[in-house]
Amino acid sequence: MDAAVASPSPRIALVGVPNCGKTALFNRLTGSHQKVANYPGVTVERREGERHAADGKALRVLDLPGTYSMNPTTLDEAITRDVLLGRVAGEAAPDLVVCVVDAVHLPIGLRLALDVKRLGLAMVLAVNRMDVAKRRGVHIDLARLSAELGVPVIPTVAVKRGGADALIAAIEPTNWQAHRRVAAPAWHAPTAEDAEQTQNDLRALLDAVGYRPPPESRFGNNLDRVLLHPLGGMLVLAVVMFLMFQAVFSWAEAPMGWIESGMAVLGEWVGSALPEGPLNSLLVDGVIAGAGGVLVFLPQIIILFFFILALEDSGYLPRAAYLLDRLMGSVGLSGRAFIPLLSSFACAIPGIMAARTIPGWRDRLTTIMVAPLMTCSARLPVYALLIAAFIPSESVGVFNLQGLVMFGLYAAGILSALLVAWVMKLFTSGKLHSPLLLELPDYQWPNASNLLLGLWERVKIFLARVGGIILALTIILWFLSSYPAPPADATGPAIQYSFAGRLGAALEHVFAPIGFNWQISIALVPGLAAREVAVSSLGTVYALSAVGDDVSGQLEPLIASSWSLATACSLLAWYVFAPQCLSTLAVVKRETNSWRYPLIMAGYLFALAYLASFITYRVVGAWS
Amino acid sequence: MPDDLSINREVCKYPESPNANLSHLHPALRNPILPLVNSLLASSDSGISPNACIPLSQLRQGDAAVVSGLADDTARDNDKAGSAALLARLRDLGFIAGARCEVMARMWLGGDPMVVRVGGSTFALRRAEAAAVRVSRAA
Repeated sequence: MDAAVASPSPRIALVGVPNCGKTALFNRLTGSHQKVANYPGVTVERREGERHAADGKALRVLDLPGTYSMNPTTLDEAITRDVLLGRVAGEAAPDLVVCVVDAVHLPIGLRLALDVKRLGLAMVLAVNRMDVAKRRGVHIDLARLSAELGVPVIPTVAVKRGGADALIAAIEPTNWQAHRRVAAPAWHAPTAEDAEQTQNDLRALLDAVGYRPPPESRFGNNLDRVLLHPLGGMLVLAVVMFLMFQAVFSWAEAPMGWIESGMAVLGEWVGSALPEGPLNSLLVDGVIAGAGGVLVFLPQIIILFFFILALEDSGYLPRAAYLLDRLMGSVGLSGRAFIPLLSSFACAIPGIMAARTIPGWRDRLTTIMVAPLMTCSARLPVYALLIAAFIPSESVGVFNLQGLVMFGLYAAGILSALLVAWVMKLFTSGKLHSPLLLELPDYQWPNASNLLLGLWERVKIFLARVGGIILALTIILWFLSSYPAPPADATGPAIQYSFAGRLGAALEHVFAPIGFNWQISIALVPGLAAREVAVSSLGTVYALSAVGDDVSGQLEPLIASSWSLATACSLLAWYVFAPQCLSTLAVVKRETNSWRYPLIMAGYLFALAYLASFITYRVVGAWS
Repeated sequence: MPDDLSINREVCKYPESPNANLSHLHPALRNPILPLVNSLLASSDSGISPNACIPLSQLRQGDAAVVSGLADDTARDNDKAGSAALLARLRDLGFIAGARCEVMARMWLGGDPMVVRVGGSTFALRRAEAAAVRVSRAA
């Protein structure tokens, strides 16, 4: 990783307990100049950003995972501790630590600050959410706090424009360079006496600065009375999840139409502007039909991430984890697994990485193994294409039939995840030893700029995939599908004589029992690299096998007329399990540090996919 | 299976009571019965006898109490490290002697997990974890 190379730019690390507003503050400090280290080959998910000091020198700002103490219980927390101690390979201890505490919940944050301060690194204490504290009647004598701690104490309001200006001034290197520590911090795991000492220090400190816990928020309590209610809370959760998936399908319809027609116009224009030949075919059949076919799903992915990010920001997600702990516990999953599994609906990779917040290896492993069963956004294009082509857009009561089928597919994924987790529990000791111990943060309105920044990050990743791996594979597939050229006396479409056509014909033997034709069989191969490529591949394959003037024809009506309902349903069932995603398997290999689990995962997913498709194909075939 | 009834004599003196006789019952049954038995014995309206030191896991929704200490004497003999980690984490989260806590919510059927507010923050914890926190009735 290039960031690991020693650099003269001062490095500033943000530390704090979860939910203290640390990431919002990080966004405030670095704006959109952030990079989230790419998944493959990196062991730490680094969020690093850059800002420029007054003298124009670059400052590198690192957002460390939230932690409650220097005594880690999860992998995430261990990473934070190790970075602070300079124990991560190629990563010296930071030059300055900005310890972020929530003014409303001062005790829990200050305890961590006391632990961090003992490391002897140059430190600034940022007391965040000062606006909420004031509103809720919490008064903190910041000058006294600074005097007692012996470090600068800066009030901040991360969610307000200008709310971090004082902090920006405080992290100017001239203000702290003198306190910079050269040697790596000395540290030993806190003993019982140390803990006692911290406890006494904390109590004295809280007394000195006049902190009193705020009176309970009536709004929050009333909301909790409903949202944490064993029955009411479950109902709300079910409705929220249902609305989320309904919205992904119905809100995205219009913008998807615009992108689709834009692509069609572009394809026609390029097709007519360029002379007939390989370049024309490459651009129209390969690039526009292929990569463009995936780009169409951007609106759905944005909506899905919008919901996940907003729910996360509002403080609702840990409450859902509380509600589901018992239910998930019965199949051997922790309630904490809810959050990683929900992110897996966007993509299994961040979901599997988020499983690091689960203490306990067994709980974590189970979460990792079932994460790919949560329908990721890369499968959305496939679902959306097939549903639009085969399921009529009728109303069923207040719902749309297409939305219901989509919901059913997601539900099938969830149910199989529960089943797989339960089976895994049979093979392990089964009992949950790792604690739940989950903080339920204050409710808050999602912050628009943080939400937009988060969405922008996802959009960038998606577009990079479309422009990178998806485009490359589409071009390779176009080549394989176009060459060698058919013999002069050919009768069928040209693609049947190409490399891809022969490969598809060979694979068809494997997939014929589950109803896949050779076009689908070919499309599954590049789908190994990214699931959504299957759609672009179908686009390319069908564009090239079209005869005559129908080249610019849309994929949807094409498959609607050439596939049977049984084949479509079988492919849908296949994608509930979708065993082919190399990046997921690579991340599992990295996170579990062995080949064993990714191989088991690939094996069980493939077996389930084949079985489910086989049954679906036979049942639907007999029915229709 | 965590045993809510175990007594840690170092942390607090737990008044001898016939509660221990219920230990053969299934925990799901035991849990709703316990406060009832306690209230009959102590003729207290909240279900917690004054000054008694009981596991947090025995409090009902809406009950308030003061933490008197931490002791994990549940059946974790085979997991000493896990037990120490649990206690350290509870301490880090603010379950320290003298802290006021209140049960905000409990699930149905055995009240597992439960939501507890302590030191101005709110946490969801399982019954087995709450059993390691000893509390006495709020003054």
